[in-house]
Amino acid sequence: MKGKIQFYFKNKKRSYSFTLNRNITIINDFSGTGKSSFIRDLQNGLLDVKGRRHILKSDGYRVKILNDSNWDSIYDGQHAYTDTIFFIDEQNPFLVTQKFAKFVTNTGAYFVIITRAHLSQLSYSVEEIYEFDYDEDKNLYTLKPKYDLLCNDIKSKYYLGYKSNVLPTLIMTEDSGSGFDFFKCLGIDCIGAGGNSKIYGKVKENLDKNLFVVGDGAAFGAYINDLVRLQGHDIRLFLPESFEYMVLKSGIYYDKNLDDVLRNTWKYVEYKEYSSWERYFTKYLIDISSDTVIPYKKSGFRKGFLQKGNIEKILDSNDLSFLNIAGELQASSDESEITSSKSIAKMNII
Amino acid sequence: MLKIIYGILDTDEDFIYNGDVFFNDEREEEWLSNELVKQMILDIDKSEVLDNNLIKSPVLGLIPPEYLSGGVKTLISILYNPELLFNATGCGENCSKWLLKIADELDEDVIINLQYNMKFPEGPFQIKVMNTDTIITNDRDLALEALGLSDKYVNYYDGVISYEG
Repeated sequence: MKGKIQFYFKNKKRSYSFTLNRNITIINDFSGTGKSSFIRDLQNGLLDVKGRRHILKSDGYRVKILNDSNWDSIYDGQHAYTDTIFFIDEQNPFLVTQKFAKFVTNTGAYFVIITRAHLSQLSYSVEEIYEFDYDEDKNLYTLKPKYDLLCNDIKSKYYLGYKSNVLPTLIMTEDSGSGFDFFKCLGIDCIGAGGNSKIYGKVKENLDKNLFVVGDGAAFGAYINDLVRLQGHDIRLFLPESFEYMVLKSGIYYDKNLDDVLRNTWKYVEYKEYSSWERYFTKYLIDISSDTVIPYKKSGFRKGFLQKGNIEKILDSNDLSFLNIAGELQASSDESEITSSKSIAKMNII
Repeated sequence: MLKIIYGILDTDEDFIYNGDVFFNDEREEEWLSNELVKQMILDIDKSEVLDNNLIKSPVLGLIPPEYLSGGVKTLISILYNPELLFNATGCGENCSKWLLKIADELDEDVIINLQYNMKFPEGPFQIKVMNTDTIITNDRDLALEALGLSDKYVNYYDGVISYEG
């Protein structure tokens, strides 16, 4: 499945209306806000087979409630559920299992999950974690983002500490791939956490620093709650969709669909192929750069890419110009790979 | 004292994974006549207890106790069954002050399991994080102590915490 799905459900007393922007939508809210009532209402609605007492709209996709009692049989027949939106209430033990993660990937279906558990075996976006919003006059439930972007500028993806103008003393990336290579060039101390699962430990070890934590927002959903709980410490949490997204935004590489891909990514990501937008952006960037003089590589930048101009382009297009300390950029002067006969037409190379 | 085991728990204790279901199955009539219970239902569900089997909800109308939120049902179940180990992940952060009140009301320790880093009132309070065997007295320290614990697989056998892998 791919694309946005408009979901609408109405019974005699209440209605629910929201958009599923990606394959995983998390509803994480206070108690007593109507989450279990929603599942109960939907369950009753699905039993109303002639559809006379309820309205259910789901852009033509099948709607199913997944719970402990039907999990095994649905898992065994998963090939039949590729065009399905699954709704799952909290407290279902299978939610935290690798088996469920496999089910999500294998089916490419859409999931609306009510939970406070991290579900770190899944890749889901921080932007797709919601709370219920209830309009009493209309008896209408909609969804509002749980974690607000601290700045409305679409370039900025700060979830913590945006307003601080102080330069960080330590930049922390999730891993030691191309993102780490990039931020290491800025002349500020930089470490790779060694993967999302290790990020907490590294943050804890370095709380005495002014921390700037960079993560792939498209797959960081499981980790944001614990880090946002550190409000009040010297931490900024910067979560663009992914580092590859940052490179794509810079305009260094060209593709005729690039602008649409960045603005309307939802049109392009098939979830049986890509577990998250992060994976899609990586593949897309590798593809469009493949016949350029410096093809992109996730595990680390090829020589010649990290020139001053390219670094500044990535910083400026992602609202990170403040990290460009005059005279501190440790840009590469090695142009040894920019000598091949490969086309540079698809690269705004600096 | 309130004691918390963070993580995806496996244990030889009498562990109630789903407080919502437990409440529906095992509720006693008199539970809803308790003043603390009535306060919790009013605060969390914004609802008024009319009698032991009837509640008035501003959104749902007149409802049976089974239609209360999973969070408040888990809290009530903990209050009346403190010897059991409840998974309190179904309790939202608006339940945390009530967890502390329940632990204060009871003469015995209350142990809960959490699969998320729940925010508590600022403090001071006393919560024991059993994963690290540490007593914490304010939420700022608790946030740090619980950092990264909630999605680990944790065992609690014979009163001892250990980790898989």
